[in-house]
Amino acid sequence: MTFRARWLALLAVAGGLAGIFVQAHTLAFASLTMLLWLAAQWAIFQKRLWFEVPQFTIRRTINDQAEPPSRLWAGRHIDVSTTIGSISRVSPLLFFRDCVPENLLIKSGSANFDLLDGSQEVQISFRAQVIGAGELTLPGVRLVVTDPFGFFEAHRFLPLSHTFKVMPAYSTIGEIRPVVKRINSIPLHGIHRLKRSGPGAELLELREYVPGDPPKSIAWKASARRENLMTRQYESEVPVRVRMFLDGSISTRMGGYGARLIDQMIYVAASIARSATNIGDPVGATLFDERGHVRVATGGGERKFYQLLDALADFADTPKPPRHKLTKLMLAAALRLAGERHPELLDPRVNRVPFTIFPLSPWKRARFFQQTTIAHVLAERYDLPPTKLVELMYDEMFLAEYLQRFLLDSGIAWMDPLISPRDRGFHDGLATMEMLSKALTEAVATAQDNEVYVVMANLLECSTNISQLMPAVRTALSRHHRVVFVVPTPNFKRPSTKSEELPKDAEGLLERAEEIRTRELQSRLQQALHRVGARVALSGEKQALEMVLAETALTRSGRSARAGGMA
Amino acid sequence: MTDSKRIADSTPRVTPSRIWMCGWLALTVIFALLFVSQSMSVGNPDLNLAMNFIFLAVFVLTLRFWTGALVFAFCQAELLFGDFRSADPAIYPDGWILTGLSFLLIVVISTFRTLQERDSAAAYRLLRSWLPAGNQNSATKEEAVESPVDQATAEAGRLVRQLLRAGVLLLACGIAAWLILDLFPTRRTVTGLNTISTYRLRPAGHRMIVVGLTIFTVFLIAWTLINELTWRRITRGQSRVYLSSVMLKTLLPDLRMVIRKRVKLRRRRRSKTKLATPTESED
Repeated sequence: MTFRARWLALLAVAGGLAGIFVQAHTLAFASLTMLLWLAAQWAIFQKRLWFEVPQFTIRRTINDQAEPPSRLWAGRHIDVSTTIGSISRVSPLLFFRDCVPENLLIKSGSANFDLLDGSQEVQISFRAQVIGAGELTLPGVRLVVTDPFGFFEAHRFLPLSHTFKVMPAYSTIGEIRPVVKRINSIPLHGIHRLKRSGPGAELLELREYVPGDPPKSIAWKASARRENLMTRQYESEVPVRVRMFLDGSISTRMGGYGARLIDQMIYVAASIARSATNIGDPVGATLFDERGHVRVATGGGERKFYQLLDALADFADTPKPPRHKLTKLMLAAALRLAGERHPELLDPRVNRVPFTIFPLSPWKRARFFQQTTIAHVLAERYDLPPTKLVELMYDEMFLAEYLQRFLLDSGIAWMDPLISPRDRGFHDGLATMEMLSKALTEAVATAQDNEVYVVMANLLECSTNISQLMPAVRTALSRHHRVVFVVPTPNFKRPSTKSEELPKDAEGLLERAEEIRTRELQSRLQQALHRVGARVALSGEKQALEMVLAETALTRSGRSARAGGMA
Repeated sequence: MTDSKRIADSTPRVTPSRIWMCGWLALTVIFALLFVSQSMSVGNPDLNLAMNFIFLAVFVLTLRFWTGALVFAFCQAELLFGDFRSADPAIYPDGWILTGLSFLLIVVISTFRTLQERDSAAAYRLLRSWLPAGNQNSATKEEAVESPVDQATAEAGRLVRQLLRAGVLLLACGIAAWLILDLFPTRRTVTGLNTISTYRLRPAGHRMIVVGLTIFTVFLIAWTLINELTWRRITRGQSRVYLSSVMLKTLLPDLRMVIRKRVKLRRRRRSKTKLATPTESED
């Protein structure tokens, strides 16, 4: 019953009784008519709720496919069409809303549909872009039933859950070739030179003959010139293995889908993997965060590439966030979400709050009421026993933990109110450095020849603790591996070095300040890493990808530094 | 997107909210003009500026708020004083007309506001649709074929039917109300009792109690019946939440005591751990 019906009912009862008492017959008649009319509208509305709503059937198609696909791709568009049908004709007014998760951005069409006149079928169609890699769930359709005069309103949720794995986006960059010729014979696809003696085709050096050397390898002309038997030593031919290290620590997961640092790094990782696969290089990855690290074995070919993308998609999926205290915002967000997904469980006739004397103050009572209501919903959703239900009501930390879980399961990104980004010292970076060092050292211990390590980590925020990482980097370099760092930036852009005029608005000034800060951190980081011989690229722009590919090409060529230009 | 959908997107659509908006704006303008013309004609004996102003205010306010309760309250007040003014309360013709008009107005206001709240940009879209390059929201394939005039006619027909249905229902409710009031006569009781000597009540007071109790009883029976039926249709989840909340009513004091102790213990243990950690590291 809405406030309209309440007002009219109140006036009708008061007017009716007054009319009979003071013998104002027309007033009594008008008031009684109003009361009966409201009762009739209520009966009609109840009939609709009982007989029309349960008859609804929903079906959803993605990209005009009757059977929705199990995988989607980040950055690509999808056409979502949800059809709500009924056996009988549906009477107005009905308002439908296809619940769209945060990871989906509507580009055209609408997720809402207002049925203002009778119909037998309703179609909600929209075109949306998948923003970030991970997981995406379309939970169902929210329905609001109301009578034509707005006197009664009921909320329902029609579940139709479809869960998709979102694969990361990637770009394909043309192969980088050196402009000077350095090889005499073209090796097999995926095989590259290594400046060590081996059974290759390219000459490495000439050395004096040692008994046991095959006669085929004797350089007769050189032996004649030097009057001493000389043997040809050939280069080794090995594949260049690209191993990526991906940081998934807390600071990289903060923010909305598509705007997280991890999205940027995953995009770079997928692009590097694509290029390496195209060239024929084996590629692998080590994905690390607070939970530990996952090693994706190095391998080549399309199948391996898609396996790697699969692992990246799993890694991008938001894990359980760190514990956070209960806030008003978190409680309000959870209540709103519960109102959207489980409106029937919030019905006060079903979800009853037990009477207690304490707390006495009205605002504390209101909060207790909210906590108890949401505790019942959580207990039902997660199948908790009564003791846990009472614990949810009285232990705020415990409630916060379950609220976080509830918000996360509903597709909310790591942002306020799920988690506060500016507390708990998330950005100290020491833990990240330790995790990265450990992963890098382990990789070096199990490495083979000629590996390129691409480290993607939020190093800008940890540049003060970079010394923690240095021993691991030095070890990798001393084993003749190449180490490249790709560092994501908060605004997904490389800081400009040009001195431009100061912006006049506050937003522009803040942006400039952030840019200056990034530039300073970058120069500090570059100095520290260049000193040991590692290379650094900022952000997920094309230039960073090109730099990694150039380093890979350099490794393939068997040289230690660039000679000639890169085309 | 298919071609037919694209065509449908670009075709202007006449929605019910737009028709209502259009009609309401026109009525407001007409009443505003009437009000201005009346206020200009100085010396008119029939001039009732206050009433006209209230009427206009109702129309203008409805563009932003729901004014149904206001209209009904005004109607009730007018009927109360009208009944007092009338020599024979049973014959108050103006009252019946006023009641009918007020109910009609409440129906119209409520429908208008309900549609308007859903499509708040109706007026803006209406203006845009009048412009040559006007482009409206999506429509179905069938509607794309219809011209805006046909759509408007169809929508208007639908609205008239909707109003007629509401009118018939109101008439039925009116007849029912008249029957109920007629069941309990004004001057005497159904059983012919003298209420003053039997209950020490005026006949009007006795009638009020009897009618009130009768309506309340009918409402209680209907409410119980509908609630019972609603209860039988609740979902599994709802029944579990209901059971746990009812169970908590009796078990809450005991459980609360246990849980609070547990929470306190946990906090104490946590604070001890926090205190112990630096000492251990120093060692």
